[in-house]
Amino acid sequence: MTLLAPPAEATHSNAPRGEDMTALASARSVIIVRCDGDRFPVLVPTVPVTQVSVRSIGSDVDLRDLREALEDARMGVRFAIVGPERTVYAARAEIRRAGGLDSEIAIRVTERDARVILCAHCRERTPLDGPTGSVVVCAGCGTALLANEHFSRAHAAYLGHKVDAETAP
Amino acid sequence: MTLPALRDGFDLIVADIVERSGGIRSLAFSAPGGEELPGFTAGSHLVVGCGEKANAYSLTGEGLFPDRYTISVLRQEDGQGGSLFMHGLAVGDTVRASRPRSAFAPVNDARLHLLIAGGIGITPILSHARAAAAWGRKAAILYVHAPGSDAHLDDLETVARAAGFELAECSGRAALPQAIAAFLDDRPLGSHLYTCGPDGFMDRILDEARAAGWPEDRLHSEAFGSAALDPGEPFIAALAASGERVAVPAGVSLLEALEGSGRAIPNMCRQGVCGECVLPVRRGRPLHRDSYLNDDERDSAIMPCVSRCLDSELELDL
Repeated sequence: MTLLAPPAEATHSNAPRGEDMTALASARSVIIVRCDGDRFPVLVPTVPVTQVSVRSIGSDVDLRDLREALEDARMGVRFAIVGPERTVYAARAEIRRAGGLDSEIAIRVTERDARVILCAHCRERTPLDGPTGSVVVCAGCGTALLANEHFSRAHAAYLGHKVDAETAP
Repeated sequence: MTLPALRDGFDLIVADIVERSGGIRSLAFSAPGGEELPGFTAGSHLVVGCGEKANAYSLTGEGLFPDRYTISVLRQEDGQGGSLFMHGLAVGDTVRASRPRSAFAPVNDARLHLLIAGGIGITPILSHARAAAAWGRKAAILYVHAPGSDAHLDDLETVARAAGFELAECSGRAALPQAIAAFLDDRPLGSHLYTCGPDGFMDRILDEARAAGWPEDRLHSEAFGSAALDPGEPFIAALAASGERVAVPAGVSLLEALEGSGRAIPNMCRQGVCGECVLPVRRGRPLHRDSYLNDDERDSAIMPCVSRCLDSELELDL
């Protein structure tokens, strides 16, 4: 018997993976949500289709066009969100706030490297072009944040906490 | 012997009776001392002892600090006796009842609650409408009934007028398809649909909604008066833990057979609705006749109160 913890076999992650487009099959109308100018081709059933665009600017996301579309959205609609992870999930969160369910949302992530780090201490959002495990200085409180492998779908951001919180003198 | 559903129940006094059109009678129950009763979620039901058996009845109130429980019972001459028992009660009589049980609750963050009642299925729908009004939720109501059998229409009108709910009515079969289509049309994203009525009626509503692109998680239905099930083929229940083999003859439910062999299976409605008696299946293809398990669960579980087996043997993790 050893007192040492067994080596971690794989890093635990709740980062979104395995998105699919099956929600579109039962659509009566489709709203394609293009994120950050993505042009990935989306195959939709032969139903009325509208397109809106959503764009990340730094750590903010401009959701105005999507919000407008959501105000008029009717039952039977399905959403196809395409683009970089951080913007796609911000759009998904907005649709869910408007009453949409995951069974009505199809997601296609085309790029995952651009991240937003949500500061656990001041809640400011900081962009990070790099993998989890990186350290980034919080745009709000200046704390050096460790970007955790912990993704909040509601915030469309990875959780960051003070990198030396446990070891700083 | 106390029926399982009533073991944690209490005695209630018949406080008021109202006879309504279409052979429907409303009963109000109160606590013996008149004290406040446990509150409940809209769409809840009460199990009431009716002589040797117990029946589930939807509560029609909104559930906030109730001093009375109200139910409405359709008189069924050829039923199993429950409705005749309820129609024989007089003010002042005592009944044994369960606490309210919720199996048809509203989704609180729905943007719009679409409530569709067929006939006596009006009872939980009235509860939903009243609760929606009390909580400031938005609702629209469609009441489908036979001509002249519009029990509780006056109550619906009162609620709808006070809360500003849309209230549509449909009497007679000919107008039904158009009424359903019109009622489902052009609803905002975030709506949820609730229906209660005869099985065929609810199937029709739900199929129509699916065809209009409503996903399953927005559809809610409350089964009542489960149609008499056919006796089914005999089979053997093999119990994996003990190696015991229990014969289930035609006309005897798996639950009854297991109870006959001395096993206490927790159960409640005994009509495939409540989910209480669910058992894990190891081998054999269940013949599902319940309205509780979802498609994912049907490979590995069975409701022994109503369901049987397609094969000659069903192995249970028991």
